[in-house]
Amino acid sequence: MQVINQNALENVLVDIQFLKDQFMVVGLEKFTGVFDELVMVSPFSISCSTSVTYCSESLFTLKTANIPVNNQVAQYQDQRQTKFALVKPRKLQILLEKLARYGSTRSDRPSRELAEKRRKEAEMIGRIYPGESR
Amino acid sequence: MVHIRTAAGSFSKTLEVILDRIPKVISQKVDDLLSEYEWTPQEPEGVPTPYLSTLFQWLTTVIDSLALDPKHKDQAYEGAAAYINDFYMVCFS
Repeated sequence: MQVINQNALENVLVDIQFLKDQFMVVGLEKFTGVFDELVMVSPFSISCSTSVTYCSESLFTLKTANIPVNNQVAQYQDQRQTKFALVKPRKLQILLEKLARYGSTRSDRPSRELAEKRRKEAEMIGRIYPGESR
Repeated sequence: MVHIRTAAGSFSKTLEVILDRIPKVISQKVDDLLSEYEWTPQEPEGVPTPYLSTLFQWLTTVIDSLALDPKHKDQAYEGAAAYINDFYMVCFS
C-alpha cells in the first residue's frame, strides 16, 4: 500500500476504537494496549477540526481535536518523550510520505498544497531523527 | 503406567498442534475479511468497518468454543489482536 488519505486514517481510528471497545466488552481489555502505537501515530495527520463518532452498545467518541494540524512536527518534537513515546520517527515519516503521495495525485489545489506540506514534514522528520528506529 | 505416559504425550502433542493451528486460522480469517480495505476513501465512514463485527463475533465464537485452558484462550485473543494491529500498521511500513 503506497498511498493513503486522511479519510482512511479516520476510518482506521474508528476501527481500532471499535476493536478496543469489543475487547473490553468481553473482559479482555488487557490486550488493547497492542493498538496504542497505531492510535498515537494516526491522529498526526488528521485535521484539527476532526472528531469521529460512532455508535455501538455504548456511545463512544474519539476526538482528535487536540492535535494541531499546523504544528504537528513541532508538537511531536516537544512531546516525543512523553505523550508520543510510542511513535517511532520512521513510521511517522512513512505515513506522511504516503499521505503526500496520495495528495500529489489529486487535481485540486488544496490537496496538492497539503501534499507538499506533508512531504516537507516527512523530510523534516527524516532530518531531525536520521536513522532512528529504522 | 506406560499407557498413561503415552496418553499424556499424545494429549500434549495434540495441544501443540491446536495451539499452532489457531493463529493460522485467525490470520487467514483476518486476511479474508480485511483484504478489500479501502485506503483512499472519498469520505470517512464514521462507523467501524462492517467486517470487524463479523470478525470479532467469529473470534469469540471460535476461541470460546475451544476446550482449552483459559491461558491458551488468552494467547489466542492476544495473537488475534496483534495480527489485526499488524494489518493496520501497514500504514506505516
